[in-house]
Amino acid sequence: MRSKRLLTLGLLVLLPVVGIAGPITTNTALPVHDGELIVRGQGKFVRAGGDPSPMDRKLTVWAVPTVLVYGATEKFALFSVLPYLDKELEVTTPLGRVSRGDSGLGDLRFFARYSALQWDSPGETLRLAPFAGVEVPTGRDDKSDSLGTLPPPLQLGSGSWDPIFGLVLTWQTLGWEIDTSVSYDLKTEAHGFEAGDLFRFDFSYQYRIWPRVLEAGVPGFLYLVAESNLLWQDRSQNDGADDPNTGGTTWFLSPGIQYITRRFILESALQLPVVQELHGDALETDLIVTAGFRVNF
Amino acid sequence: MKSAGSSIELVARILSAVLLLGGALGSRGLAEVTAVSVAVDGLACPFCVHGVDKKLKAVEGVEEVVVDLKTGVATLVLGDGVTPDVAALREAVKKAGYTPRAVTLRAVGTLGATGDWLVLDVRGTDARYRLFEPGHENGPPFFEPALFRELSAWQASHALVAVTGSVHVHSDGEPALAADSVARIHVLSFRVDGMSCQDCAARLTRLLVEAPGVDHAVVDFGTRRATVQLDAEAVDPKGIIAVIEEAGFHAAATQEAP
Repeated sequence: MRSKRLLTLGLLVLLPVVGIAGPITTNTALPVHDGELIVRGQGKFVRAGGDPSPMDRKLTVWAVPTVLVYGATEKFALFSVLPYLDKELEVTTPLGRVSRGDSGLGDLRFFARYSALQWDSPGETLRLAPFAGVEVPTGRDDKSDSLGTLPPPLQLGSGSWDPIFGLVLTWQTLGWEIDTSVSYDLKTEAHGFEAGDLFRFDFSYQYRIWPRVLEAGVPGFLYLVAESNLLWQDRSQNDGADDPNTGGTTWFLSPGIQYITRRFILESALQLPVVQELHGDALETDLIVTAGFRVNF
Repeated sequence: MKSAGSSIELVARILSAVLLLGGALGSRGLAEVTAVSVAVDGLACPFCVHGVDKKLKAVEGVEEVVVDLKTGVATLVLGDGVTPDVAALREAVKKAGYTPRAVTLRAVGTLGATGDWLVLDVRGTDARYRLFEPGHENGPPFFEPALFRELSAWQASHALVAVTGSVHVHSDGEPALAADSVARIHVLSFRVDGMSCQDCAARLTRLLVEAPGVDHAVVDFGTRRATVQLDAEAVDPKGIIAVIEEAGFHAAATQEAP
């Protein structure tokens, strides 16, 4: 169905990856101490276009995910992610140029991360942590307008319970940090629609540029950040049939900057697609801009 | 003090018996346990320090925590008369998500003996540490014979000593201190005239603590007495008197180290 030929990957990269300290667009295995609470807020802007079809679709998404992290123990951390979304799709129809979309709270993600392996030495740590969770369909998934029910990718919620699995490795020193993670989102069916499963491979390198020489105490760190996000998504299915204009592979390179103190982090990154091999006439992402903060309690 | 041929870094200076006017200076106020620190492995960014800071501060008796990210050492300030609970400090670092290494401290007290063990009785507290040479922390009592004879002499003379080293819990559950150094302790007492209030005493205390060679100082407004603990071999009461008089008061030494 033509109205369902919508961007999928661009929306899915909005799904917040949760970090403690560490990367901006990927996960980290750094610890959350027993009883610690971390609040993370982000603002994301996504623009997608380049529609090869006569519909000339242009998608704009604003997302504000709020993340709460709690250290149940020093090895076991719990995460919840709830985004506020504003999605707008401009499309050319036989009735003219129209705008469709919705705004409000999206689906809630819960997951847990466990520090399985930990090697500490003076000023350095290596951690490996699996994580698993579920996306809960709390967002509205039945919004309609004068043209009918919005297609699933434009809805705020998916209507389905979707498990998430992954593994993250972090190697941190006083001068730099590397985080790499793999994750898999298993999409399930709701109301006849099932989004394609999503596989991610993320990599982040953060390099301390200030202070150049570390003195005594706990100074703030300024990092330059270089991140890579490789996403592969399967085709979506409508009533059991593959949608040929969905899914594909996208590779983002994401430069960023981060300022870290004892109590808060300020950060920003720009995700630029360098490779987009999408199926059919799926929309391509132009860019994603992210800015955010983290505070610990 | 070194034993000939010993490979240990035990640096001991001549301990002098400290004569105290008016009785033992085991009163609270002078630092019994100072320079407590915990080495933390895995700490590599500012945001991560918060957890270590918070968990260590929650340990009973810890009043302040100062973390140095470069060295990975958290230095603690304890309340008066508090001796560190080593197990609690190590557990706090683990609860923060990191790995504790050595807990080191400097304790002032007198030497004693219990069974085969040479012990340090920390002044003004009930704390007692078994003493070891570094490298023999979990074995039977061990000191080289010459060293042991000197330590025994100090024990007999009830000399006041400051022992610095890393603390651990011995295999039988008793606290122990692997002594890296033993330093002579001098305690000088002065009568101070001219103070008009507690603020004067507090100001003078700060000035004395900052003076060269002064390890700790207490100024008591009520008794008009300043007690100064020095960590240096060369003790010159005139230097301390000069500090007191520069602060606007008059001082006279009530006792000197022999």
